[in-house]
Amino acid sequence: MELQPGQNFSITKHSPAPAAVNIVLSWEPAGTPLILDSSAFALNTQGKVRSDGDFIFYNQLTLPGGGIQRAEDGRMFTVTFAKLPPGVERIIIALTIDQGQQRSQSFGQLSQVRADIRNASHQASLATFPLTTKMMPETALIVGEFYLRNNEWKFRAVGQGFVGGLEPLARQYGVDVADDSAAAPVSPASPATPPRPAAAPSPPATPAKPVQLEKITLEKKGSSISLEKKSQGFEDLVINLNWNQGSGGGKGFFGRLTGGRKIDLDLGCLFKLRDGRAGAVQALGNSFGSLQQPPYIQLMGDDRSGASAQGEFLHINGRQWEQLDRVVIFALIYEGAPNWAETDAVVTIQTPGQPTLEIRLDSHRNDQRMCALAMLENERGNIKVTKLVEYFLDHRFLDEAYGFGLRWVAGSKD
Amino acid sequence: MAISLQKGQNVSLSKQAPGLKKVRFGLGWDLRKTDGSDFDLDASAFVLDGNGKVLSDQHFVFYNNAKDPSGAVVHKGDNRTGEGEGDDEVIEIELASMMPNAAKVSFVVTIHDAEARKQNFGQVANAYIRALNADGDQEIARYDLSEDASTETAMIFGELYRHNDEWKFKAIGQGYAGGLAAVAKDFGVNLG
Repeated sequence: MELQPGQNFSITKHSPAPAAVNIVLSWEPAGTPLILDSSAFALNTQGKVRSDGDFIFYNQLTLPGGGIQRAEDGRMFTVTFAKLPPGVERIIIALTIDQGQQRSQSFGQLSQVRADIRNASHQASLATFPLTTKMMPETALIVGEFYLRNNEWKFRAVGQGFVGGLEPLARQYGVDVADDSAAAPVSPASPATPPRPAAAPSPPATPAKPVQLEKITLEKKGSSISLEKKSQGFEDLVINLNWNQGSGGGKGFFGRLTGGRKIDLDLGCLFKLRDGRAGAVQALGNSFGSLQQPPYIQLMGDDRSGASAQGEFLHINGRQWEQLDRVVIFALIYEGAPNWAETDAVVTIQTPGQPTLEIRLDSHRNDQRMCALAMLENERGNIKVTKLVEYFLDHRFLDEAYGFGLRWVAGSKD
Repeated sequence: MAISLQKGQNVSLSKQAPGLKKVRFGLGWDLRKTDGSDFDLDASAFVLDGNGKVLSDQHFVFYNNAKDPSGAVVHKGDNRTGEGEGDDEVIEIELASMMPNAAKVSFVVTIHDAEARKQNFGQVANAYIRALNADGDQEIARYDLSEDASTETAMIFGELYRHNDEWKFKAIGQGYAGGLAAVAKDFGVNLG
């Protein structure tokens, strides 16, 4: 059965009635740069949590007393109806984008979110809910809800967005989330932002963390609930390169200069692991890397036109940061522009616990198509970020300058 | 205890509510809490002849036409968002004032602009329509739109009809494609 938004079906009346169901969440494209978090809210008849323990999310994987279990990776919830505490009559399943507001991300960047409801005992499908999310401007999505009606458990496909992300959503259901540290100074993100020395490793007790890059801190005074992710390593480091299509149409001043070709810029990095292995992650030679395996760095797609509003993303798995020794992030003019001043390229580097580094590439030299943007170094487990902005002729010179010692041959993306 | 209507069932109002003079039809839904356009549900009544057509265009009682010519059928106003407690929209019918040629009254619930807003009853929290005895507010029958008409955008809730000098109510519960305009047209209203 395929559900439309608004549609409901009876789980209890299903024959045989499942004692427990799995709801499996997935989305397209699977390799999205968005970081999605799933949550469940166990609600009473008034539509509120009985206590903060009824909020199941990345820091709390089970409902106290049982009945709801979130998979570690957040892709699945298991609901065991008979084990639910009395008073729980509704379970909201929601997805939120981590730091979506700050990163100007939204569900509109996905094409589809999908929920599969299965009988937990043998995985037989009960229903699927494919939701088209294009055009959705929100950073929170209520996927669906399990609810008790006339002694019967039902599931309703909801598919409605919620502005503001996880925090206001949790508040809406009565979770006692304290204000984030609104009083903390916000340092302006300007191109001149100097590199900051490495922050302390982020134990929860660290006071006065810089505001900009934090996981929205929602620590409640004197209580343990926090939306801050547990620090097993760091959150992912996200590097974005964006530029204007500019001369794409071949019209106008720039069009003539560039022969009407589309500008194609590449984002990449040279890396060195703690075990000594070194290499490059870049579109050239299709070395896209991997987040789950060494080098724990992955290039998310290759935008050849600049038409994608978000540009290119390089992710570094923060939980595996300890495996890395150092990384030099670079950008490269693959084709379509003789120099950086014509690309309107902007790079942002988001490092957990540190201000966003924003770099505008504006060199007018026609012989330096490559730019080393920043150096990330592992200093006793911390991330030290140094802004570089040094222009080079090609990979070889860049490599030499930073001593990775790789062997270089000509490459192409085609 | 009010009857939760099943499609096709009918109830004799004179048996359910002896001495019934005025029937109140209440439509309710909850305020939207998620993002997106508000939900705007509308209740309408069509005063029909024996052939199922409106007695006149003025016998289509809705948000732009608050009364039928006899004054028996009165729309109490349009609530645009579902804000406030209790019934959000109410239509009242004074049975004794009904024109002799009025054989039945059909009640329709529609979601305003449902197509453009991509909305259906299932997306509206706690949407219902119910019939009450206006004297004492005793609920006679109820239909939960969110549950039973979840993928519809327009529904003929039911009809009030004469049967051997008594008034009966029948649950129709039938979804209707095309919204209020299509329903009105089928009931013989000349839409401008």
